[in-house]
Amino acid sequence: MEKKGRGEILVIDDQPIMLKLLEQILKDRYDVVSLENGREALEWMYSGNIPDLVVADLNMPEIDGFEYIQKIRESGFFYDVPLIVLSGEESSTERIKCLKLGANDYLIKPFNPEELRLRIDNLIRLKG
Amino acid sequence: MADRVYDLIQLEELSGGDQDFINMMVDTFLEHTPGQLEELIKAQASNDMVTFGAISHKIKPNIDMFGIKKIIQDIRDLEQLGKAGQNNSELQTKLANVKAELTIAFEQLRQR
Repeated sequence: MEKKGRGEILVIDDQPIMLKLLEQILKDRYDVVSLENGREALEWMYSGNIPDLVVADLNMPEIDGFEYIQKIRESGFFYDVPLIVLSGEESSTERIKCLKLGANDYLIKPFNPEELRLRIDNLIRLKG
Repeated sequence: MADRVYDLIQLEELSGGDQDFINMMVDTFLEHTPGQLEELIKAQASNDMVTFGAISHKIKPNIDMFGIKKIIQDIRDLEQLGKAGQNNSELQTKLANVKAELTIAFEQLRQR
């Protein structure tokens, strides 16, 4: 897939309303690809697409966020793609589990859009 | 007419008042959330508390996003009660609150 020169963010959430919200928040700075679960995301990535950063929910059908993080961190292609978990799970147990699996950051819904944008900018800058 | 039970200020702020975006979000909310509420009620009736907790979790950010303030805490309590498998009178009372308030919100948003 041809990139337009801007960063490309993959957002994964099974709630259409959350995908539309994230597209609105990020569209001015990034190209946004929206997918509804971890399986769709893995298929898209293994079709040759490497996003500059992933924003992923945890509770999704088919392949959930935990399994998705594990699979991309075990991959030889995607192990270093920055990943932010954006979840309604508020417990520190879930946050620690994600960080141990290799997530770079974790935000709890409801979130401050500017905080998400800044965290994305920082992670992309660090990787760049 | 009853007082408005929702508040779109969050959506207005993050979209800079973009009415097309706000309308799209309202349409998406009305398309999906009534069905989720029905699933939630069915899960409680059939004592499927794993599903009940999961659906509560899904509805929670929508209630936040649409500023339905009266049930912001109730939906969190329902998620925790569901995950703990406690299909008790407290859960049933809070579920009734959520159902009543969301039903009003759906109607008001349809007529806005």
